[in-house]
Amino acid sequence: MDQLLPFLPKPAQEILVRMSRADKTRLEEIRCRARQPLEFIVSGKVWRMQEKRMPIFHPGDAKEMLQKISRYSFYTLEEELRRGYITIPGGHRIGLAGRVITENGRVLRLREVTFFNIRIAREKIGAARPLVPHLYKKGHWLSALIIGAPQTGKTTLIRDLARLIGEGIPERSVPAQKAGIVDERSEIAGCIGGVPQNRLGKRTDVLDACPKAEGMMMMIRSMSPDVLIVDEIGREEDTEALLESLNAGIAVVATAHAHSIEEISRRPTIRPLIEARLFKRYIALSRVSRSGSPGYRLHVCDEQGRPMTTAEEIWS
Amino acid sequence: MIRLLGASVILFATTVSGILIARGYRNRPKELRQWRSALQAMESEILYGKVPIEELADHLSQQLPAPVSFFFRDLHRSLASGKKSLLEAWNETIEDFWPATSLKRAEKEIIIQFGATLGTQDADNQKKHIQLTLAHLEREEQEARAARAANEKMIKSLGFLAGLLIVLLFL
Repeated sequence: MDQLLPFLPKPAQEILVRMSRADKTRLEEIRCRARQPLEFIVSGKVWRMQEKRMPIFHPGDAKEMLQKISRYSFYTLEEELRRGYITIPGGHRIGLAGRVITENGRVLRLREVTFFNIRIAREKIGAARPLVPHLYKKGHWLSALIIGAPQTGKTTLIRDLARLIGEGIPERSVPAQKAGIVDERSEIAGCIGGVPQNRLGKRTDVLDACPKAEGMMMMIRSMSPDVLIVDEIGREEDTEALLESLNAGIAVVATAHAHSIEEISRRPTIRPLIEARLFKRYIALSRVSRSGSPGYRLHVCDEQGRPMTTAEEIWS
Repeated sequence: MIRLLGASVILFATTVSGILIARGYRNRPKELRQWRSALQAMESEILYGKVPIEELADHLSQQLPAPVSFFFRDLHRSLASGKKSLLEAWNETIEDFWPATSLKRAEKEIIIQFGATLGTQDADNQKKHIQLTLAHLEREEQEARAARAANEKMIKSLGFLAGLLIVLLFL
């Protein structure tokens, strides 16, 4: 959180400093839009200050913020301005929007950046612990697909799973294994200059900002992982690469956007994977709220999609 | 005896000041060349390495000879403290650094103007600004060379001769 402060405009810094500790730990997003009031999202809801209006985010603030994010070196952001997001120290991500310049109908990059969405990354160390008995069998990790709607904590879960794999669990005598992360959107590892900002375990390798399909093949060829970890599969070429890596005998843990297993099995790009029964476990995530604290519920299903157990975890 | 001593003191003083003024003429083209090589190094690091300014300043402070290296050392320190924007850090460092150089007002303007564009553009535009600044500095360097050729020797001998003149007048 402290790493985030210097990037924010002055009024937002002041609000954040005065925000109560409880709200701060549940802060999910800070949204800044030119000429609009600042918006803080706490536990999925817009947060309001008592008896005060939110300050306005001026276009000048936007310019200054971008300068600070680029460390006063705008030319370093070319790639990020094409992708539309930046990872900053601490693994937080800043999504960008504004005016785009194109060349031959393709996005060249953003020029005027006037909308910012600061997503606060929060490592939930231990978030994936309830999954271990389902995914670790006889010294091997099973291939699994984690399914959930946006903001249900798929990435948080997969990140902690990567940590458990790369770190091992000494008290349950689970040894550390080689984990390979293909981190297309720099969300799992939150790499800066190729060095992960998040705790991922000592035996974890990361291909940062690499297209998934190609990255999976690169990872298998070059790093021989025991478990391959990818986020947000769904494109056709992803499926091909997944089929190949699953056939190569490497366990794959992936996530996909969907509300349920039924929904995902209707998706033409993912269906072949399900039909081939390459994933041994499906984990469906949904978001629950218990007395104001965000949490998630997970259903674990076997390779045929039959439910096994339901566990509920509340984050604090 | 006292006279001889006085005469030699005067002669020494004027000769030394002549040499010091002449040194300004000699150093100016040299420093301008250093600045040009600094900018060229910056260009390649920005274009091909996409190195942020803070690191770039650190690299340059190690690569370049004094006195330009001092400027980049101070700029790096100022940026690393994280309290100032690049523009503020650049201008403040230039002000602090200026007494140590033999450069003139015109060069200061060029460098300050360059600082205002630094880091605010994409790589292509940054390159254009660097090229423009290089052209300005090259013109200044030619002028400085001409001034050096015309004045360095003359000022040096003028210092000695002026001293001689004073001594002769007092004799």
